[in-house]
Amino acid sequence: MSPSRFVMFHELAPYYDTYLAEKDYRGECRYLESIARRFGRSAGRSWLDVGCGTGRHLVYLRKNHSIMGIDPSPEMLRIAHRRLPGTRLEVGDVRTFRLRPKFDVVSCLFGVFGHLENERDVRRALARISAHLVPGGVAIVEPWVDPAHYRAGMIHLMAHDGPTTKAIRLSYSTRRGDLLVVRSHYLLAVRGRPVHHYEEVNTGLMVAPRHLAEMAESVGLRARYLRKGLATGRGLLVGVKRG
Amino acid sequence: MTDGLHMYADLAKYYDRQYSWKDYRAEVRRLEAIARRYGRSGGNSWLDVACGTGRHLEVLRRRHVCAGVDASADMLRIARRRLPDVPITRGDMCRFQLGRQFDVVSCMFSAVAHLRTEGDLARAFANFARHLRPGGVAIVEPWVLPSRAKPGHLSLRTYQDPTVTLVRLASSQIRGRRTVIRYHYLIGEPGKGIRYLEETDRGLMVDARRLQQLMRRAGLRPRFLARGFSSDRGLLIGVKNRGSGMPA
Repeated sequence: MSPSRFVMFHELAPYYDTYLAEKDYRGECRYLESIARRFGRSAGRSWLDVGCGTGRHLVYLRKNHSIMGIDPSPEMLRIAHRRLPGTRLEVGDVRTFRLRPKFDVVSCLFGVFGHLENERDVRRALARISAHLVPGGVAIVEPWVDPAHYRAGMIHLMAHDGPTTKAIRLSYSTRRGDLLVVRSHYLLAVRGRPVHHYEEVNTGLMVAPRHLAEMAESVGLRARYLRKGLATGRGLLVGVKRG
Repeated sequence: MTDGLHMYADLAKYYDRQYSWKDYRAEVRRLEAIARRYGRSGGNSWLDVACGTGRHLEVLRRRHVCAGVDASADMLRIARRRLPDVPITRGDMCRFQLGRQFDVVSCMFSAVAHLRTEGDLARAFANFARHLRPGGVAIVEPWVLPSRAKPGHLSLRTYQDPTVTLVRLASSQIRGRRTVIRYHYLIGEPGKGIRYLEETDRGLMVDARRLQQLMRRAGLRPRFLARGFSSDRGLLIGVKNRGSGMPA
């Protein structure tokens, strides 16, 4: 069986939150909101999360914002819908999405930029994010790996060891030019059912934060890179919409 | 049970890391206490059958004159490297013939679970008895007792050091008198990649009463200790009569 893409977001979507049980979404949202307050120059409180997945950031953001989410995976959105009844959630791709409303904040977090494979797609994604901001609104983007920080041949383990569910991901990363290639093996065991093994390969373009900021500038954002980011340690790109 | 890692010849090298959680020193302390309590043969020679990579022998040899037997050439290679001065022989536990007798014969970590039938178990016990001196003690860690088996049980073990990440996910079923354990291994090595291996292990469950009958039939006076090294097993002891010293 050859590895497929996005196993985590389709076959394993019901277990995505199990794999990420340790991630501190609440703490991340506190920090994201402080960034929005600090840099935002628009008056409203609307927030769009692009690549919202199962909606775990939105759960915390909705307390202080009117929220919306998009994600390319219907399986992930189905879970987000259950978590956030009544919230507007739509299928959409960061490179191509078009929504009528504009937002005070557009966030694009975690692995989303890690699925973009070339500079054209990165630029398209930034342009789409910028196009959905009101003047003075803030884009908050978690960049993918900085090529200067890339370390070859790393093994990364994520393991959830629950009493009735065991979920493991073991990943191995290599590079091909500026592409980071991550091969992941998943094991999923749910009591009473056969154990499943999946293989996934994901390729994403590594972009230096400075270059990413230049691209953001070219699509109408006043950009800066914050070294302090979320759990991934990749920092955050913040762009304020001109105009 | 000793599990299947050693079925994959190239993976025997990970065996000790997979079981780095196991406290061999404490196990040996208990084994030695049992040998002192039940043994009547007077000497200090010890044979470990299915000795694997030699982790029990490594501790036992401090106070005993040791020997080992194992069926796997890959495990033997590791044991011999670890214990160059301990004689270790390749052999099947039902059939090995060392031509000498010992004060203690041990067979740990449920290695007997790999035997297919009760007949094989009886043959193994008889062979242990042949290798015991009169008054000597056999100590066998049996496989999971039928009354303590947990069908549907899942277990996950992970091990990480800078050279390797090991994941073992086991899912247990019961089919009649056998446990059927499906093992899924992920082995990740920095700079090399990840391998996925699967293996199914079938183990024969025998209850404590039957185990003791088989011991008795092999010419050893049996005794079953409900508390062993795993909560679902126990320990089986057999003492050879002092008057029945048949040559090996």
